[in-house]
Amino acid sequence: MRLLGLRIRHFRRFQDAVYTFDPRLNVLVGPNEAGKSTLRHAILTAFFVNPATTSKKVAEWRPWGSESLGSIALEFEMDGRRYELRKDFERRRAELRDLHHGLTWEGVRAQEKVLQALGLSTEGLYRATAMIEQAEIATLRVGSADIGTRLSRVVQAGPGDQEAGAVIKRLEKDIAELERGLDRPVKNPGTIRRLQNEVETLQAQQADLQRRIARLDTQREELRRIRGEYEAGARELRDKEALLRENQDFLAMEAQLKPLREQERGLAERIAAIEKGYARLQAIGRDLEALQAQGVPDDVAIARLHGARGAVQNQRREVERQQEAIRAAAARIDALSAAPAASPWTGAFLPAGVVLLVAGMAAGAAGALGRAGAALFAVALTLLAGGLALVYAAYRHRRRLAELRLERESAALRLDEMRETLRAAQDAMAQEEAALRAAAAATGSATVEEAVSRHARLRNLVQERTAVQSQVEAHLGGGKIEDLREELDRLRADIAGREAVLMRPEAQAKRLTPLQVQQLEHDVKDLTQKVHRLQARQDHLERETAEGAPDYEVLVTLQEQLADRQEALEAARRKARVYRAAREGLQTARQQILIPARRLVEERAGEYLSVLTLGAYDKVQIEEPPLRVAVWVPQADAWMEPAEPALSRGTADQIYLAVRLALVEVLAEGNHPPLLLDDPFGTFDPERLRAAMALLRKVSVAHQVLLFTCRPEYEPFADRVIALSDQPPPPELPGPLWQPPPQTH
Amino acid sequence: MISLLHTADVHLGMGFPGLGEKGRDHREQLKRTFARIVDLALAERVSLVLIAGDLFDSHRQSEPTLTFVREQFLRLREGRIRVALLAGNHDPLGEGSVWTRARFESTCDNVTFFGPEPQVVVFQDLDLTVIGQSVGPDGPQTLSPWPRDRATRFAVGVAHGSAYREGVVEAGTIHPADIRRLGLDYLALGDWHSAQAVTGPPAPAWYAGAPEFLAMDQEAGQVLLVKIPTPGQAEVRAERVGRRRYRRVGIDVTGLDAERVRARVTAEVDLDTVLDVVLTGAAAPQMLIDVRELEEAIQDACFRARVRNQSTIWLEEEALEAFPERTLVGRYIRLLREQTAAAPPEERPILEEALQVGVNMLLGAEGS
Repeated sequence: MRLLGLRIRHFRRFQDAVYTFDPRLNVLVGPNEAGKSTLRHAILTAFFVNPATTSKKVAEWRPWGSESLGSIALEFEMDGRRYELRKDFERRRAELRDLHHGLTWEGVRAQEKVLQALGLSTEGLYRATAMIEQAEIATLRVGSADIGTRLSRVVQAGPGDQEAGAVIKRLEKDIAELERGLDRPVKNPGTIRRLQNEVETLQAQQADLQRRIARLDTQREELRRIRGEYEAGARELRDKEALLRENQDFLAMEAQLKPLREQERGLAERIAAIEKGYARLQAIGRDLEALQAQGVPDDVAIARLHGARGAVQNQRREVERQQEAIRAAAARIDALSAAPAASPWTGAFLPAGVVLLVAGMAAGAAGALGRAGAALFAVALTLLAGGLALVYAAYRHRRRLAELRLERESAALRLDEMRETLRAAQDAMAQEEAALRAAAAATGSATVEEAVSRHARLRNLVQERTAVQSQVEAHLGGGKIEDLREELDRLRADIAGREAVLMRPEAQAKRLTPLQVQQLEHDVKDLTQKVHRLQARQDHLERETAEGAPDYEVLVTLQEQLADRQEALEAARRKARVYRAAREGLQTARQQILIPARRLVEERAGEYLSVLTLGAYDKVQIEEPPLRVAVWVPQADAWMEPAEPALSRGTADQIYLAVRLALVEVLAEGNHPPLLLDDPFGTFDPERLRAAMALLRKVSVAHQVLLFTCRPEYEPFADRVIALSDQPPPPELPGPLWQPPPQTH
Repeated sequence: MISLLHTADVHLGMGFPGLGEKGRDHREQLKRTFARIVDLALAERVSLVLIAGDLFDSHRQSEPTLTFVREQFLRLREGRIRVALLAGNHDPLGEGSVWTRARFESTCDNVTFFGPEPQVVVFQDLDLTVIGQSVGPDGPQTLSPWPRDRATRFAVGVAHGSAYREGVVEAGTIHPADIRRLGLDYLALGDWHSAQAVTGPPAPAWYAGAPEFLAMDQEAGQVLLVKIPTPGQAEVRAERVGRRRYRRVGIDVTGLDAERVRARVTAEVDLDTVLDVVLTGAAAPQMLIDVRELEEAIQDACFRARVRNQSTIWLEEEALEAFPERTLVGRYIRLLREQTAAAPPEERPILEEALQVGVNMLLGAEGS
């Protein structure tokens, strides 16, 4: 692209300025404040700014005193065809016309065509590539690193390698700050570690508080339960104690009733005994009266009667003895009379005996004569003995009979005597009996026994009366029976009252067996202990819950702080992840940025450097990234960095300029945007300046050059020198560019 | 005429994890707002204050909070105003319930506390029947067992639970058919934190909403003043009592630079506003917004500010033209874009943010 003409209307200091350019090297000369910057600005605005923009900056372009915005018209040639670009900021329109073919593009389309022609799609790219600022070379520091940095900014059309490095460093620094202390303890931990610590601390505090609150909740719940149990227990205790007391009263009452009942029974028995005694005494009195009415012998009479009766009895015993003796004597006589006088057998004893004696003597004599004398002697002896025995028995029997007869006669005599004595005794006894009957009759009794009986009965009655009276008096105990009866009545009323109490239905309902009462006592004892335990626990819990009442507010606040810190922690962690991703992306992008067509740049830069150094150096080498530039130094036969002391600063500037201009062609991707140079060689000496201008002339074959300066040194090398001033446009106005703009409405 | 004040869902003692260090202050604000409700009831000389559940956020309430509520009820008592309240799903009846400890009805004779079964209370002097039912251990119950008979000229109800909406809130226990069947002059509901009507006249039922800001995405801060001149003719008026407002500001950042976004956000800030900024749209790489910086910048000017960046980096070809691939930024953008596309879903947000951060830093470095 080569600019042919430019018309600026109502743009900043320009009311209406027209410039025409040579297709190659133009030197625009003017003093300071002549409008060089504004002109460059106008060209860039024509290239890149969309008139439809709403940016407030557009208003700043309005000239002083003007209410309307201006317009910029630019005529250029490209690939043998002429175009007119018109940007009207008042009407906010852009229009590009192909002057050969009459084609027209508007708005975005027009802009696209312009950018396509430039090969640099943004103002930033253009500024970085096709413009060399006044101070760009002048402020180069000595050293290849700086050249490399500057060049990298050119290559990257904005943030260069240094900026990328700075951003990466900043990211690393931020990441390090975020993650410091994560892997090992440090004195000053980073954000994440610090937040982690805060979160852990808050979590611990929260957990502790929650534990306390949970404990307290549990205690409160227990307290509530204990209160319920205590109330129930105390109520049950009261009920059971009351029941126990009542039953104990019942038992006591019953215990009291027993002696009362015994007392009542004893008293009743006493009264009954007294009454019985009284009745007995009355009966005895009556008996005594009846007995005394019949007559009762006194003790003398009784003694007399006893004497008389003793005599009768003695006489009777004598009679009886006599009678017995008579019966015995009569029996003896009868026995003597009954004895036999002689039996046939006893009468025969004597003859038999004589016979035997004779026979015996015969036998003896025979024995003495005969041969069989011994045997006959034996028989004679036996017969003699028998005969003697029988003769003796007959003698005894006869003597006995004589004795019996004498005895019977004597006994009969004594019997008669005894009968006489008996009769006398019987007479005496009859007399005694008569005397006894008379004595009995004297006492009014029919018999002695009756008299004795009456006497004994009287005595018994008297004795009994005495005894009964003693008993009665003993029962009365010195009192009166009426008093005893009253006491008995009182006692019975007392017993009846107590029994009535015990027998009441409500009492009956509560009455327990002694075993149950015993059990109840155990229950009450256990319950009392339980209630005391509950009371103690309740007191303890009340103290605990009162002293350690949970501050729910603190917990909620803690939760809020924790949530806040956790959110901050998550944000920090996310930030670290984001920053790591950004850092890694940047590092990768940095690695991936290559200088397009590096060889072409090296070749073109070597060519340009040869022009600049008049052939002293003609080889340039570029390494990336970062862009490290080296130059072949024939004298040293080595690649050297463009820095002192190996190379002079002036040579370094030349090397930078050579590479810088070489990059334009490459970065514009084969297009040829015009170069806008703002007095870039202020530090060059005249020789280097000539060389630089020679290079510009060479470059201008491919790229139109517009060199802005306030110095005249460049003019000899220019194809056209344009003096900048507020002069009105020249009269010869070529082409449609100079046609007045359409009226705006 | 019966004049009522209907509130619910005060959520005293609630925690606000999203408010961080300001949670404590806002928790105190809930009390102040409750006191303002009492002020309003006294000023409006209402006959009855209905609290339709969730007066407390949980059973864990400090003694000072219970004392505070008791004092407020006593203030109403001095103004001869009755209170009818019930337990909600956040503070239900049951074991360890806060109501067991509170027992306001035992110390404030103007307070009627409803049990877990439907309960009818008659205020003869007001010619008013009030039916209510607390939430018990089994959660909110339906209104179907509620008695329909009324012995007074006016009858109102108070309940806590979600309103049934076919296909939307199927689990709701408050069924519009039940409300209409009961034919109450007004049914005061609690559970939903934004004021809204469930049914209209002649048996209107309303959620009063929370009287103070409780959570993002909720429009709270009101109570309802209800006047019933004649049965079936309830007039409902919302009255603002809440101090803090939730404001959600959605900004489409497409075509906006950071300054303009910041200006838009700054226009919404207020010291009593909980500002929830959501950035949407697509930002060109050179116009990316540092969300954290923006959030920090407005934090002190709001009660609480949250800025969520749901915008994406504009990486259409048109945007990418400004960053050719051969440039570092261009290469970085394309590299991260490729990595994002290949990454598992959970990694993508990280890489997308890394893309924005890297571009921001690179362009910032260039600017510096």
